[in-house]
Amino acid sequence: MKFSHYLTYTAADFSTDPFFLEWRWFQTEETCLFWTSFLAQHPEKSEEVLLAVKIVEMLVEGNEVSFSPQDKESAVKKLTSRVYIHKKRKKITVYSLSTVVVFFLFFLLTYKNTGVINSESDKKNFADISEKEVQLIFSAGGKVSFKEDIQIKYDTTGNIVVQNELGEMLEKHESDETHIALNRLIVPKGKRSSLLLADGSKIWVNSGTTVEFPSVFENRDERKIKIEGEIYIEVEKDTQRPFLISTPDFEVAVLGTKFNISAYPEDPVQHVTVAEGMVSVVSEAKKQRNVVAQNQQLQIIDKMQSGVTHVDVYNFTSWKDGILRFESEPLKNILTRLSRYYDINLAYGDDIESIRCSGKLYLFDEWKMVLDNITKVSPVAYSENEDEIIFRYNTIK
Amino acid sequence: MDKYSLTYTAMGYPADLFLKCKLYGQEKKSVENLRLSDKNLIQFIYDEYANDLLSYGLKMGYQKEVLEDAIHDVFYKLCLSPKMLNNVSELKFYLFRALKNQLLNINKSTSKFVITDIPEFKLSVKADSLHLLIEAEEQVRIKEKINKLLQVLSDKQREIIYLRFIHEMSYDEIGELLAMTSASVRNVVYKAISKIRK
Repeated sequence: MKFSHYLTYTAADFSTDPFFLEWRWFQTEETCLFWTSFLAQHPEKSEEVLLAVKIVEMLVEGNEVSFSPQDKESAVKKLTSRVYIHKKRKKITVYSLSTVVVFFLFFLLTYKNTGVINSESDKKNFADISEKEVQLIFSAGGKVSFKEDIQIKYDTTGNIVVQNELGEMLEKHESDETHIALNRLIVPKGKRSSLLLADGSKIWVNSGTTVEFPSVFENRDERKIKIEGEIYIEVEKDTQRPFLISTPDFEVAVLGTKFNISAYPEDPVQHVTVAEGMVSVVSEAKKQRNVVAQNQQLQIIDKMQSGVTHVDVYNFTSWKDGILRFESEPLKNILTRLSRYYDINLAYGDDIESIRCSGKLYLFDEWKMVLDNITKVSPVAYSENEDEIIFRYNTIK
Repeated sequence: MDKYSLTYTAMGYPADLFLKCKLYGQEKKSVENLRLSDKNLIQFIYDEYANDLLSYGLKMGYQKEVLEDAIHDVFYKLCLSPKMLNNVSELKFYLFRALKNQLLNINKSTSKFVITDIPEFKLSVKADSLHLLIEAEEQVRIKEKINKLLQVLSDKQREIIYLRFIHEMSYDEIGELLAMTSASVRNVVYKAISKIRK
């Protein structure tokens, strides 16, 4: 296409020109480049072009129907009352739950007096209770715990602000003089948190994960953190200081990217999945090194790096949006993820080993609803007993 | 983007929600105080987007009654867990995607609603208020020509125009809505372009 071709065009001509419409409708790189440079070189045509833009915008319309203002108002009324009822009901369940807990404790105490309970399982129970909270442990020895999911922010000088999901301030911490301090964030099963580091990098921390990080990155030539579990991280670009993340089995080095690391020691397959940019993964055991680029994944099986494959990245990062999306994923992997997310005990028989699923689960739904949805789409059924939920193959559908 | 909207996006709220809130006068309240349970804010977001959602749903071939319920559920879920908005850069895209998923869920749970014949994805060409810009004859001619070009295209291609041109979504977002990769969306676009040029 040549500029000279358009020099005699009027607004009406522009508005029916295929190449002009391509620009308006699809905004492809080619057309954007052409028309912006056309406008730059021929400012005298800008009036006609802008008029044509307006004509096309007014002609092609999106909304033929709309709600009346009354409809909208009553819809919002319905909505707010439903939300209100939901919140009230939630409170009631909490109350009734706490009654159950009181009864249970009473039962436990009397039971203990008879000396039947063995001390080991007793100890384990108490350890579990303390692990139900998100903990932030400072190197100096201090520790804070939170019952809800939290957002933690470090500023460049190491001052800390902790907020809940609604953005309410929960805790404020001035930095102490020992800057190299290593802090530790422990997010137990059933909880999630996010963490803004001093260099501006942002981490989403999944359930059952520990992150070790400094208040301030003092080192001039690298930034280093340690994790065990799963995170999604958006690393702030700093070409002078690569960002290093080490897990028990491997180390990831990056300059500035977005990617997901799943490194739960108990999982047979761990993986690094890159949403943007490029990372390099080194495992110490075998001195292996692999470069993983955008839309690729590297699996680490039994400390060994297997090949790099192309994947749909969102299937592996959707958890941070409260969604679990998967494609032909073994059902047992999904169950493992759900048991961490909701902190429930899920077990399964060998017969479901070969079942794979595709789809999407909303994690803001209650776990029961999510499990029911699974039984709807795959040939399985579950039963609950006192301390776990067991999935089995089910042919009767 | 000014410094407020940067704080907003850093906090995980969509940038366009911030802009809308600013119009709505929310920016005076501190950023931390933004709550989706605020009735006025829900009303505001609802006013902004409900019509877009309704039109999109109708274009996909759903009935108005089904859509009203689905839109209600989308907003209900959003109010219960506003953290869903974390890392969503465009609220409108988030709502479109949520509506589409909600409709698919309805389809799954009640097989009665399965749509057998999907209607043509229409884009309407209006000329009502154009007379302010150009003459009547011109107007008719332009309208006919654009209509012809739109007719040449397939439903999917028109749907992409609808999302790209009218709702200003990125190719990545469109890909997610149409369950395609952004590369294959671009492919469809290039085919559309070659059809238009003929």
